[in-house]
Amino acid sequence: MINSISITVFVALFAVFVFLGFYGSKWRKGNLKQLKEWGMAGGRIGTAVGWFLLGADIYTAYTFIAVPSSLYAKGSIYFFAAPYVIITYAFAMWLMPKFWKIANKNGHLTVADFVRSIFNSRLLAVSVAIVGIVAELPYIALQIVGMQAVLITLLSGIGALNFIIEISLIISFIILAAFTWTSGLRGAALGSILKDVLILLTVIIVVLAVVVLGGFHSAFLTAPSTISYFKLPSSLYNAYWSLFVLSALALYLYPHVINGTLAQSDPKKVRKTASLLPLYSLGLGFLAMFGFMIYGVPAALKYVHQFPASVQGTQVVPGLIVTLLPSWLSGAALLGIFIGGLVPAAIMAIAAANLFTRNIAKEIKPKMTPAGETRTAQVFAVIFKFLALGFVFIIPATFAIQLQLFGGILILQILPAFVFGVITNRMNRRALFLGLVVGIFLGVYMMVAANHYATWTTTLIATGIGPVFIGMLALLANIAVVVVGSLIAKAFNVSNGLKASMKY
Amino acid sequence: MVKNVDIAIAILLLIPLIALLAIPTYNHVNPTLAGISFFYWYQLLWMPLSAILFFIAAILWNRKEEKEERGASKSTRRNARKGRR
Repeated sequence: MINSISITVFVALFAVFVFLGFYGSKWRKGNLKQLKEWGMAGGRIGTAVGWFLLGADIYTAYTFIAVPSSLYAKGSIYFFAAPYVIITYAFAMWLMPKFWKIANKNGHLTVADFVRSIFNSRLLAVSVAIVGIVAELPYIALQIVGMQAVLITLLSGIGALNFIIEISLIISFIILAAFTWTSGLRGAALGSILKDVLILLTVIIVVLAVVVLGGFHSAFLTAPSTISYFKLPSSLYNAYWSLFVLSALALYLYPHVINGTLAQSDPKKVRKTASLLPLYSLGLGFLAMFGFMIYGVPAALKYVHQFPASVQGTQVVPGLIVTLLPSWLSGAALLGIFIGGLVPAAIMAIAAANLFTRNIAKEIKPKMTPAGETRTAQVFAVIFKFLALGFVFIIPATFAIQLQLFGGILILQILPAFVFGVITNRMNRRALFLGLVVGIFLGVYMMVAANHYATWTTTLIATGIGPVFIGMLALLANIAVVVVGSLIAKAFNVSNGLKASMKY
Repeated sequence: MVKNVDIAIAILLLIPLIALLAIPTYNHVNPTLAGISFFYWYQLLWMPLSAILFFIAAILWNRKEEKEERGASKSTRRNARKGRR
């Protein structure tokens, strides 16, 4: 139930969270006027906080709102998120410690710094920076949708539904902008610990409640048979694995994840942290199952059905919370979900702003002072959030997962430059640039075509082997261009202009 | 040069990937667990299993690197001595 008690608990815990954010700016104090301090916590983050900070990359509105929502709307295919958050850590363990070492020896703070010095190409570095920033925008939009969903739940009693949906979006945005401006990455890291504690508690209690009520058995009986909820239709096998494998490859390419990795203090810790994170993914697995579990809880289903289809899915998890938990606890749980969107959105905006400042603004204006850099990053963190808002209007909230998947299609296109950069420097920089451009254009084109030039509700495209994830096709085209281009360049002895000064 | 420990690490990292790519092997409703179909709980089970396999791989890998780092610093010292002579 939502009543004054739940709202009071929500507000009180939010006050604690804000306090942590401000306290965070003083925690292990550094000069916040320096970009590395505001944006990377000075690179002094150890295993425990690093675990929470990187765990926060998974425990976002993607997990709380988007995955359960799409599972509810479309069925078992969206459980691909579970194998995704296992496999991604194998990829991370393989690549990230080596990347950390190269970045550390050469003083790289961003993926674009790294690409620029590996391939000695300003063009490639700026392109990678632009793709990194743009790919973060739909992912930030997804977080705003998550925050909005919680406010809709909290406010749903007080007025006309459409008005509440809009006002919730505006409030979410203002809180996000104010929070990022003041606290930087340190505040976000401390806040994410509170968030994770609240969420894990909620997941455990709701799952136990559903099991005790016999909800899984009745969900099994009452779920509509028009949607495949309990196993995968065999026509979607290729969709399933292409979604989870490519999502796994995409996660560690996002600027905010790279930022979180480099903010850790030691490459061995990077590897150990990644190896244990699949355990953390259990929470995602259970939250995803809330998408069909709701059929076992008639009160929650009734609650969800009062909303229009465009936002209905986002109310699945909040709906189960408010119908199964006592008011004070649902207030706490909803706050967990709210800051579960807020903290990651801040982390993503900070990373995008870092990237913009170091790799685009400084190219234009090389003599910026350190204080000027931080100010530029702070201002652009806000601007990027405004741009992100644009994506909220392209994709109906129920299909918010498509925001993250579209971000994935974009960010996957920097994979050749990143992976070939870490494991070999034999690829040609012009071929890498051309591949990136081909991948981006093909990806966006297929996205628009697969959705028939209307609002975006899918990232799958029909092929001869059934629907597959667009990100995979775009990446394959990209890699083909890179490999063929590099072979041609080699055959004609085109110099790739590599610097001899790189330290491996 | 590929050593036994490299092969062990590669296998540990690849086992979960292969298990999860073999979709037809786990795309079943039965046996259910607490009302949850096999398709779901099997994949959930792979989360703790993968954490165990990955953690062993991480320890092996970190230990291997430590050994290499020690070896490398020894050989640079040796080379430095040779250089002086």
